[in-house]
Amino acid sequence: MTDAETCDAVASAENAGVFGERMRWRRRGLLAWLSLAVALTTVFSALTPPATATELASAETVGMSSERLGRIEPFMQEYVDAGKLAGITALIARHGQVVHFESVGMAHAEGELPMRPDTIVRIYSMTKPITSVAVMILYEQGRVRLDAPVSEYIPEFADLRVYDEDEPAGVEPERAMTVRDLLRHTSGLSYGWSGSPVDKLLQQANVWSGTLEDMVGKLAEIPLMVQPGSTWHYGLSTDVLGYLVQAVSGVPFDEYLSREIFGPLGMVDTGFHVPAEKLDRFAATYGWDDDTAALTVIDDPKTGRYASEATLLSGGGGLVSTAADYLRFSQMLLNGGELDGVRLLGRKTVDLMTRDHLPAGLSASSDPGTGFGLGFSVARDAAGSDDIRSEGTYEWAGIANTYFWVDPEEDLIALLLTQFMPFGKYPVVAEFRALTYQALVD
Amino acid sequence: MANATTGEAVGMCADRLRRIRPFMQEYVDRGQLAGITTLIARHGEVVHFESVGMARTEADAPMRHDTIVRIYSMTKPITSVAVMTLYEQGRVRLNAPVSEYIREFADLRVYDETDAGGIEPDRPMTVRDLLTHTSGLSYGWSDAPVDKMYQEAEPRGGTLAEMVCKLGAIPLMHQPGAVWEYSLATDVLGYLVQAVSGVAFDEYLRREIFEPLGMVDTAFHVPAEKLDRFAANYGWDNDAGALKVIDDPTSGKFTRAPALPSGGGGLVSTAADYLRFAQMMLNGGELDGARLLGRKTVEYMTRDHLPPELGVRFGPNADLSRGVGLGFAVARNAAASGVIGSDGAYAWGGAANTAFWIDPAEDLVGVLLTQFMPIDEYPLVAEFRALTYQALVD
Repeated sequence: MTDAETCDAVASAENAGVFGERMRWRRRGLLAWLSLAVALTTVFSALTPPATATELASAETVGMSSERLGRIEPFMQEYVDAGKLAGITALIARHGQVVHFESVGMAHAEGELPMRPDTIVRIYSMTKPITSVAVMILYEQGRVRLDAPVSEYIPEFADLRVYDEDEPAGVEPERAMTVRDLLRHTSGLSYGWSGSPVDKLLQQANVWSGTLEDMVGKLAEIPLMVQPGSTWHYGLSTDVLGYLVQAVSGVPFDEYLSREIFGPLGMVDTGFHVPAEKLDRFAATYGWDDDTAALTVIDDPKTGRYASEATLLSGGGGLVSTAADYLRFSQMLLNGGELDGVRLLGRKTVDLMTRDHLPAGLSASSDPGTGFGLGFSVARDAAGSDDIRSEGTYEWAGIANTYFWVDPEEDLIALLLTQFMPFGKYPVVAEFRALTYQALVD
Repeated sequence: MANATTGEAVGMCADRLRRIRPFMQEYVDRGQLAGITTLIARHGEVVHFESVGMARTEADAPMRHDTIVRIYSMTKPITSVAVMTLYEQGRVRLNAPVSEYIREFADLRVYDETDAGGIEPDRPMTVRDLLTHTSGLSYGWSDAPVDKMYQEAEPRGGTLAEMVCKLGAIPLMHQPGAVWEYSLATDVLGYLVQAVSGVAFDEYLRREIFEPLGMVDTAFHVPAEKLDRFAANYGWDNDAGALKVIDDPTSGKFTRAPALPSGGGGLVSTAADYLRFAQMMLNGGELDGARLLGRKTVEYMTRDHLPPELGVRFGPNADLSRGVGLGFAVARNAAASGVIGSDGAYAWGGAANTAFWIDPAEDLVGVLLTQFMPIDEYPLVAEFRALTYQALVD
């Protein structure tokens, strides 16, 4: 490509109109079964109205353009038509009104189950904000202090060590791990995903295999990856918080969430497993099969682990939920702790949770503009971020490519749910963010 | 857009606005500039719109409100808006590697004096880098080794596709993100618009920006029936001590469609047309019912996207009083800039001494058009800004 001849060839190709070819090619490939899927979606939607808690508001009444919001569904449909994702649900609410709520594609293509607004999905790490709210409920009762040593509530953590390559037994922590460290992922705990020595110990200990109590017992024996407070490191912190909630409240963690959060907020489809009578609304999780170059089911909704009760109630990633349920949770936060007359948290507590709690120099991603509050990332600098957003926006995501964000400045909530791994393979949330904010016209 | 109104109706003093025309006339009377048009709009109303001197002295054509001028780099904000219309559709991501849209940029290298083949970029060049002139691309104007390669390759000698092909093979002057360097980045964005939309760049601008906004005289060339409204471009003849025509409107390159529609500098326009573009931005993306961009997108474009240590840089040192947004310079600190204005005002200019700025704090647009090179020979824009802001009395 270094010589002028190549560039001449480019020129003649351009004259032949080749630059438009890529676009036309992209629009052509609609697989037959996906056409069927689209047809089915239409039929099912017409027969069974979506179980939305909130009637769709006119976008214009809340400063958004319905014409511009209309760009979202066809854009998402392209992902389905291209065979990249089976199904997607997108939801936008502003000023407490749902202005966009669309599902495209299939929840479980093999079961001829279309993606619908009430499809149940694995929200994985979007469990973390819910667990964090549970901790803050106990904080508000004076039963948990943020800067208290975790060992005050979990005695198993009294003798934690920190990994040191020169010291097989690990070294003494420079300071005690606090509850705040767990909430903002500065505890020093890791996830066990890498090949580092500590992560290998986590893998060997099989920390996921038993109950929460088993997990905490195992974690107490494994050195921390880094000193508490020194690093933002994504890890099992929020699972430990689930145990902490159970230990402090004396109520099993799942029951605590049901009683204090899901019940009061009317999150009727959120839990650690999908009961039999709801399995026909539960999506499959898909992966990518390189051999067939097509989607492949990696967690079957009928036979997978969510069909029965979980042994380990993972506060870091164990929940299933729906768009409507997670909207209710998000709206409670955006309202300052209350929804439809039910108050879970005080306004000042939500303010505290949604501030950046990381010290200067730490950030929750490679983007220095991303801080972290108590259970969510918090946007520090909107211009330095990946996409259009507002400063103070808080958000998190789940590993099956589920996403939510709450933008207090714009009084806006957005949710994007699909069921596909690996995380981040497609830039769909960046695109959804653009498609959401471009519809603001007030 | 609104008709001319009295200054007082929008918080400006008509007497003070009347200082502008005689001041501009002095430039003409001294023989420094052939003709000048100045326009000020506030709260969506035009409060000042004056033309002095000649658009083309040799043909006895006076400078008028509807004179067509070469806006050169004032093309860049328009191209940037075109990119953002695609961003809003989810079809372009700001932090995506440019190579995702322009395959010719897949193997970019960065110049290194000790390595003839150049070195690997530290990170991929992104679309945002192109919009903020931190891509590492250059313009090819200096004697620097990379600029010499530009001069040899003549990237603008053919079509847009040939340009990106040639640029893909020349090392970047800087690591992506490292330096603000004025460059062909916005020309590359023109190609990107074409490649992503599948529509020729000039056609995309016409369909998505000029027609919806009613920018009837803005294009990459001047059609025959409008040539009598097209100004000459002047330079300075040192021997004669007088202005001389350097681009004749009836025979120059703007009389026909260019092979390379330059997103960085190819457009001609008028004061009225550019005001419509500027007012669309000031309105948060919409003008007279035509919405080009969402309000949040405009806010995002007009924020400072540079790290604090970088700034607009035309000499050895960066001007840290100005950051850049997506297609504009953005005032960080109006006091430090030495020219009156407001923090957050965004602006750009063209090589033939055209300039505009948009001041959201004062809800004000200023446009100044002349046709003379080189740029910044006279402190005209600073003077016009002073003459504009001194008329604010509310």
